[in-house]
Amino acid sequence: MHIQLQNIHKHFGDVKANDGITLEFEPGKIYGVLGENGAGKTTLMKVLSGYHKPDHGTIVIDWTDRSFFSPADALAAGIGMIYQDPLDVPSMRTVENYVLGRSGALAVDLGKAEEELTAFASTVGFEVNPRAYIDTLSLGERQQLELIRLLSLGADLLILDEPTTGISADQKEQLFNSLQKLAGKDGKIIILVSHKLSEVQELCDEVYVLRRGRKVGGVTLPATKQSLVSLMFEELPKRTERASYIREHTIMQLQDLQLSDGRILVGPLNLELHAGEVLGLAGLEGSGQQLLLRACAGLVEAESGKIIIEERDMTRFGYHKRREEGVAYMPSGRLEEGLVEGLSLTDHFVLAEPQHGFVIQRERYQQLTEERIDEYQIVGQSTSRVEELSGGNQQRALLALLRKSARLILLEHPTRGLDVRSAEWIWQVLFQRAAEGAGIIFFSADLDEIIERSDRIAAFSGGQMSRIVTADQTTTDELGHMIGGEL
Amino acid sequence: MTEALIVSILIITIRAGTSLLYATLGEIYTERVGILNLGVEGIMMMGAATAFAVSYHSGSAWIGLLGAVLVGGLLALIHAFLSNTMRADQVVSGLALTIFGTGLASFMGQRLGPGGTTMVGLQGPKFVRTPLPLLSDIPILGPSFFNQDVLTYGLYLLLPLLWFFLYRTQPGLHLRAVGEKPLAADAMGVPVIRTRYIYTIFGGMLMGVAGAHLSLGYLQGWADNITGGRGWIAIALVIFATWDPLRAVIGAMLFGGINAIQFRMQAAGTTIPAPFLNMMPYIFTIVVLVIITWWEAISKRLGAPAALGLPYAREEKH
Repeated sequence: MHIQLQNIHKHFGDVKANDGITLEFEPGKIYGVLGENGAGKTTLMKVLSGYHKPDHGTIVIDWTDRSFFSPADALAAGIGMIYQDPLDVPSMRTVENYVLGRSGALAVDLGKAEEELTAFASTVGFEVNPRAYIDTLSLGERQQLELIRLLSLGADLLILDEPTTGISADQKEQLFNSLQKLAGKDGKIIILVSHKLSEVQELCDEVYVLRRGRKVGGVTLPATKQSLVSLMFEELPKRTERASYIREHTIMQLQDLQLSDGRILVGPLNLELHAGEVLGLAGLEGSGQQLLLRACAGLVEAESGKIIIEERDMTRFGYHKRREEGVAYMPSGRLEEGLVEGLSLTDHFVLAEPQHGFVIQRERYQQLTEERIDEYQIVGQSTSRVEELSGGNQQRALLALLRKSARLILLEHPTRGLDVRSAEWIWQVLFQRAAEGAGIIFFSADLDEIIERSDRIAAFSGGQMSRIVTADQTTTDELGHMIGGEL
Repeated sequence: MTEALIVSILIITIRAGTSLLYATLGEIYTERVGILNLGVEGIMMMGAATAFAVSYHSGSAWIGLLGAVLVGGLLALIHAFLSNTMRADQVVSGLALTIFGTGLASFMGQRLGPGGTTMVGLQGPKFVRTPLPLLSDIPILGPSFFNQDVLTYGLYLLLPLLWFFLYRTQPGLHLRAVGEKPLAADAMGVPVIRTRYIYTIFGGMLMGVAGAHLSLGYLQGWADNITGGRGWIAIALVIFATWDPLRAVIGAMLFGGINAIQFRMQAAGTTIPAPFLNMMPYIFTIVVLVIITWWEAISKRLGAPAALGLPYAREEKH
């Protein structure tokens, strides 16, 4: 299969997501599509996979013009896409999900389908349990299922959108191995959409770089990271050189803290966080770091032990009480937990700031919102509803909503899904807070981020916290071992 | 208890449960594709009025039944159009349908009798109970389960079919996927909107049959407010049944059974005031709902279709 995208345009309102992109894909190769947030990668891939109709431009498969009316249409032509959040049905069993997209007899022979699925999975190098319910599987396993499903339906071109976000290192290796085999042996085309340069360098043969809806370069690998970064960004983001802001004063102290969410037991934890300190928590998702953060925020009750903030025992304080006392918490689900869909930015500030009387003083908050929009460089109006903002701007808005008076700042994935420059900007704001004396605890799936931004680092593995290491003396290797359970 | 008493209670249980079960099955299929139809009460009422009026004037209960099916499908089509194509709020649309259906049916009841007079008190064609040969000779079960009208027998056939269709066939898989995650179903080539139309209309037809059974089988005549809230009970039973057609049987039987016992007690001249006895099935429904909801919090997989009540459009977000 040979594919050309010719002069693809796709506009959403005034936003030119794709502004005349021409790309070519040849069989047996793995392509990387790189770009900042909002560069148009995902939109382009959705056009290719039949999810969006292009406003303009053509898709040429084996020198024949094609247009798709639905993702199913594209799949029939051999193009399949695996989304970051896989398109499967959570309440169904694996085998039902597998059968779902195929045409066949009226009555489904699930037994036969199970055999087929298992057999097919093993040819790709995966193991599946056909009876398991989808919502009991990990993201990595669901991704494997989607891969199997698409291949079994005859996909010759596979698009993977940020496939390594949220999956384990083992699963990633497994995935990359099968992708290499699929391209090398079976002549499939693989397209990897990613932020992660190192992964693109590891896996891909060719790289296309997009910027602001246009293609700005194509590179044959191997190429240096530097050359890719300079294509992606107009200017190179600077590496942070920063002084330590750590002060003598202790912001928070944990004493024999034990936590549980029914699945995992965390602790007993003993920890001291100083003013101006940035503490990074590493570990696989669900190892206890999130539970700790939520316990500090007052969202999870401690089983035993003490949480002492600013020399006061706040173990029994709930979320709202702690918020008044200077604890700020930024959840990872931006639209689910952090922001209220349907409300404007101004409305959010009304909600977030301390109350002044019963009637909302519109003008006051309007002004405050506009100040913060300027200060935090949010692309949007004070009247914009939050769901209209891009991911990066939602993150900025969340940050802007953290009260200035916060002494303890708790962050989950502070820069997830953001491009390098937005991430850099967000950290500058956070460091400013640290310089002013706030203590910061965050966790992230990105080890590089943890090493670069933290003063000290602790790793979580199966509910246990490791020793604490200083960030400028540790290595990815050491942290890797700590995450792996060598506490 | 004597055998005769058990049989008589069982007979009423099944007779009262039949229309309820038709309506519940209709709502289960509707909700399984993600459409919440709160118009059940209105559709049943229209089904009952239509069935009686049509059969009275045509002289055939079967034609009356057909009329009820068509009216049920038509009303559900309105709901499908509003919730799929217009993407309106399904709660509002469903409630409107109930109010509209109840009102129109009542009007029909006043005008569709002979010469534009009332239908109340009229005798028309009906589905009478006919014992099935051989099967009705089984002790206790025979005279109760196999001495019913043809709509109840239809239910015996329909139930396993609906269950099998939902869980063991390709289109059944499609309809469940559409209710759980329309985006994924769409990506797999299932026409989401069309599927939702089809099963909403199908569900409405079953609700029409439920109404027809009231006026042609169970009560055999027209009276104002003939459904007496059964449409709402059906909606509660869907939750009781956790969206599973077979479990709906238990709910409908329990409800019908309480109805039957309550009848018996009234007939036996109990001192409990009749209105309290009439309340029993409804109190029971509330209790069951509380228990189920509490229980459901523990076992997550029995929950509602994830996309219930949400309109679908492909290019939104994402």
